[in-house]
Amino acid sequence: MSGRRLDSGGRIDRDRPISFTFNGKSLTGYAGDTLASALLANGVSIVGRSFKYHRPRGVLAAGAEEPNAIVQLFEGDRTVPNPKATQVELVEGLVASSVNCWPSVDYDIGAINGLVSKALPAGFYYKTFMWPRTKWESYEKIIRAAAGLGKVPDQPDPDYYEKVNAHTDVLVVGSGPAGLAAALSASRAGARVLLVDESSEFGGSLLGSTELINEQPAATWIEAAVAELASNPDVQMLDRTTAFGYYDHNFLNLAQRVTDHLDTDSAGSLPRERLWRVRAAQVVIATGALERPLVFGNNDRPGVMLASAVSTYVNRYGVSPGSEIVVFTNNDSAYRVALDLNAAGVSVKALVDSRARGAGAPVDEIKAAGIDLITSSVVSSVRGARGVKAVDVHALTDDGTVSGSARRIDCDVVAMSGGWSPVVHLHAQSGGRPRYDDVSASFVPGVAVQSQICAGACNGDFLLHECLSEGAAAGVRAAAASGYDASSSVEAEARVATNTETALEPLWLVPAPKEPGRGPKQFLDYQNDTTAADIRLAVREGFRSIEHVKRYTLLGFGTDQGKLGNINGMAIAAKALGQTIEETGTTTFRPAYTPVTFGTWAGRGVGEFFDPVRKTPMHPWHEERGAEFEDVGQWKRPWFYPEDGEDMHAAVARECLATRNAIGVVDASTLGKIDVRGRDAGAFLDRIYTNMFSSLKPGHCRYGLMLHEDGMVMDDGVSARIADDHYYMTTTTGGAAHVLGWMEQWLQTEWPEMEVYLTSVTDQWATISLSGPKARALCEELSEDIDYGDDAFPFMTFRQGRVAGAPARVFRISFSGERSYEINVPANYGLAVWQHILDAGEKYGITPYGTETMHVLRAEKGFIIVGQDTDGSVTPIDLGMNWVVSKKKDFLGKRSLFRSDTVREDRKQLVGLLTEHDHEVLPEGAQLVEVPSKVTPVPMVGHVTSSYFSPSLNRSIALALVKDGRRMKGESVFAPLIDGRLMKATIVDSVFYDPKGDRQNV
Amino acid sequence: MSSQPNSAETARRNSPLVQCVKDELANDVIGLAERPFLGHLNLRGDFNSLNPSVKQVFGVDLPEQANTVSVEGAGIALWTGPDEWLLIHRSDEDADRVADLDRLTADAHVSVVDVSSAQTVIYVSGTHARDVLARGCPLDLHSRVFGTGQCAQTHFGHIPVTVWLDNARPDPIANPGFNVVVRRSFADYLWRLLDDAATGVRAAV
Repeated sequence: MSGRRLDSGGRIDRDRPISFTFNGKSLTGYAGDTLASALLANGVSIVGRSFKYHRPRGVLAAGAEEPNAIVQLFEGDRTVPNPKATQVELVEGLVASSVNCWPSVDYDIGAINGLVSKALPAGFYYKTFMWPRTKWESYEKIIRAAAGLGKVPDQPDPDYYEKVNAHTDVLVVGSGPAGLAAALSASRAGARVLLVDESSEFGGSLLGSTELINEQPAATWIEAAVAELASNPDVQMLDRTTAFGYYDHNFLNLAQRVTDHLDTDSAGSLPRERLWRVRAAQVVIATGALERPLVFGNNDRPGVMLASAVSTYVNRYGVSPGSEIVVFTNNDSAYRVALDLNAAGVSVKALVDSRARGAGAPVDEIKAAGIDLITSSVVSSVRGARGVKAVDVHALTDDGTVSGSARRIDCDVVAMSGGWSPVVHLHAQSGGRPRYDDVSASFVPGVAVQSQICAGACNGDFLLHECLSEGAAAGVRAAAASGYDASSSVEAEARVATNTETALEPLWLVPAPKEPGRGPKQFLDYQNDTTAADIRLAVREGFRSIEHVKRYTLLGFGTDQGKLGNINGMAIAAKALGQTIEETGTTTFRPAYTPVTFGTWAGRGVGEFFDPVRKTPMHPWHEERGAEFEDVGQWKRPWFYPEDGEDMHAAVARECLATRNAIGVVDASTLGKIDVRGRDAGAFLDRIYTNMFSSLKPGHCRYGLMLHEDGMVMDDGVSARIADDHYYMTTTTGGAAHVLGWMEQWLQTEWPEMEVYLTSVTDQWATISLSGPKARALCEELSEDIDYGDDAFPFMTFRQGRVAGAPARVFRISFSGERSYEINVPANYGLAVWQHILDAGEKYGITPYGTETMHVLRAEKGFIIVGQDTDGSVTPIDLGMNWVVSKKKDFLGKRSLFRSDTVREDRKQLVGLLTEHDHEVLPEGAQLVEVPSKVTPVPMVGHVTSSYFSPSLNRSIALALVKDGRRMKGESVFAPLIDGRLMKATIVDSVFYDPKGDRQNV
Repeated sequence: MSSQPNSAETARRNSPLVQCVKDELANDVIGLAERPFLGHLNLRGDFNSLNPSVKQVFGVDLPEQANTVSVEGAGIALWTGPDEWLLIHRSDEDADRVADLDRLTADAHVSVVDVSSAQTVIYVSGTHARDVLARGCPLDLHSRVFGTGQCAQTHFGHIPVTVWLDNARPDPIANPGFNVVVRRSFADYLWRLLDDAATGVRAAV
């Protein structure tokens, strides 16, 4: 095989040479080349090695179906594993190399697998699991090392990727004759049209064809069509864009390659790739057909190519893949290829047709061109180890076998055509079931289950005039179906020869003098080295379902997903099983049609945009103050505020002591807040909370606990009664959205008679919580219209007035145990009021504290945090919070508190733990056992839920859930740690600090 | 005691996007701007209980048709649910009007909740505003599908937003302005997300 650039022809720009490097060698191509066409033009015949046997492989196809020419593209942080060289556009300085070979593609150690191939049959991988079983662990290392193609980049991706949503009346996939005709007629009817094509140019198969439209080269027609579409503002055209996934509700995903074909300057700040999320009223699938290989001996040698690909290289790229070509076919289409080659001055040594009569009309043309037409014959095998040197041609006997001696024809390229496989992938992904069509001997789209129309070659209608007319009609239908008056739509003027064809005669497995497995290998799946013999072996070993045969033989498992060989494999399996191809069926067509990069999937959802970030109004202050932040749900909350060189431990100790001894301030704006209004608000809250809220007086607050229907604690918080028909509920930071949804669900579905409206006001209020013995003095400075005296403003009440000039609701509630005022101001005032309070509080030693100190302070008081001290399996009784569970009224979850399981005495109960050594802090999550045994298993009696070092008590404290814990007070438990130590702790009451609650009034 | 204000003094306000750089971003291709300190009221109740009072106080009729918006008098009223509207008015400090509405609806089963501080409006405008929104919003915002007078509750990225088209722009088809209502805590993230989307669009223009 010695490819070369032809002197003329092709759609390449011969004035723009492009240098590139392949496997370290500097080569030159032209603008308009793909990497594959440029390699062929440079005479590079071996481009890769096969996966299993490491056989040398060359370019086989010219598009997405290419199984062999997959490369490692670019270098360093921009490298991409396994794009197909047939789809890589040549760009100045491009660097590519072969995958799956070592040390080089020309001399590859792994090729030894080919010599021992008898030891590597189909299912070899699975067999290593089975026998001998103990050896799998050593096999695995070798198999894992040998597996995989290409290398992922080992550095962060320097490019960015984006996602775009798009809507259209008519999405046309494919811009060959059918697609262009559909886009033209749909757009002329006034529909919004999105036309996409995976190639760099619109035109599809026409770009590599010599057929005439309107007595002109097809290119002229394409140009006019594209110009018309481009001038229509309701038409969008995307090239280099693959429609790779067709999902429910006519939702499709497209991958657009934006910059890989551009030099750095032109790429500018464009994204490298774009994911289009398209919702289309109608989809016209005009994805064409892929030519089918023929299965003969050594049909994988470099130089064996699809006939249409040979034609495309000649016509579109001005490259001849070889100098002496044998065409081997079972249908008429390859006759055109032979004639094209001949016209381009490439020697066609013979045209071998397995059919007795050959084609109809083209036979005369072939003869006139002086091409040796050999009918009723097959190429049974290829000679030449590293490339085609000759073929053996056998005559077919009447019973379809071969016998006698072969005729040897020297050549360097075999252009094969086994017929055409419609690209039914999108139809099948959309839920359609492809149906086997005997006439074209192919699977064609079945009944559409979504709003889609298939047109042209993807329907099994391969002739140009069929493609054009079906496409135009599909465009009209699609426009009409999406609501446009298409009755006057003018179909595109496209006159072509309406030739007919002689029927294809299926040839799934080319007969050979020896049985499959005895002669040269007959490949089905080039990438995975699946052969005809492998399929037969699978059937002999008892596999019946085509899905199982696929998995056993790896047929169609490569990055090309079996676009070429699957149909041949299914037909061979069908024959071996003694059933029809229809009965055998296809394997499942799954997205993606061609591989999609991780970057495209991720889009902008990386780094700072990975997850939404919620910020409180005071966030700028926290940042300026150098706070360390903690993620709480999506909120960024200050965790602690380190001062010069402090670590977390030191900062938390300082913050805790300042709060207990003077005044601390925490930004509690993230608390969930829900405005509850209506005549039945009180009665409603009685049903939601375990305790009574209808009895709460306006101006007062109450702590409430809510349960799921299973009786387990769901959320908690303090709610205030603003007026008779108006409550202000607070929830946990993480639980707000769920609680609102939960309450709306009850209101809307179960209790619609209740007059209650709920409104989320979480973001409306900035919440500034002041705690400590100096809190009252500071508050008194901040307000003129609120009396902070204990009689006027007792614990668990609230007042409205102004704080630092802003309208405010001030709640006297406490999560720290200290005297505490929670100041709520509209969030627009939050930052200014916070700043003011910090300034005014300076003389009192005001200290901002974060979530860690907040947690320590509440744990010292034994206050639970829902979600930390509870885990969805904890009742209020388990927590010792019977005081909050009303016996007088009904509430959600109440019945569940009387189940046999929830009334068990030995349930895990919340207790306090004090470690034997004051400075040992139990790890949160540590399991607890009663017996200090190192012999496992040890019965587990509970686990630590919260654990801190308490600066106020100068010792460690912990909360834990322990089986029958309340009865075990004073007893010891042990926490076996991961490092082998056992930490001993005593079970105590869960309130460690100020059990009488005196600090509230200090 | 120097910095102590008295209650007559009004504290300074900061909009949710206080931290974002805004000035250099607006031009004819893509404009991004915050419309801060507007009054936002969330209304719940049936139409007949609310509309006369709303009309009296703000001069706007509540739209009865789903996903539509009325711009009239001193208010912009967006349909956000069968018994829910968002009323946007001139200032978050217009407490008098809110009090008037509260008073007029006191006897009815309605809920009038001031959410002026809870959300803000980001104005996305320009000839390529739709392209910017398409990078995060799954809705079809084509001028034939989403025009003036319509509103939608959707999302941008993962952020819930309410969108309506500015009816005061001279050419809302070729050069639209979208009002994007977002909750305060998400505003900064959404702003950065929109600005980031605009980068990709500007590069392609």
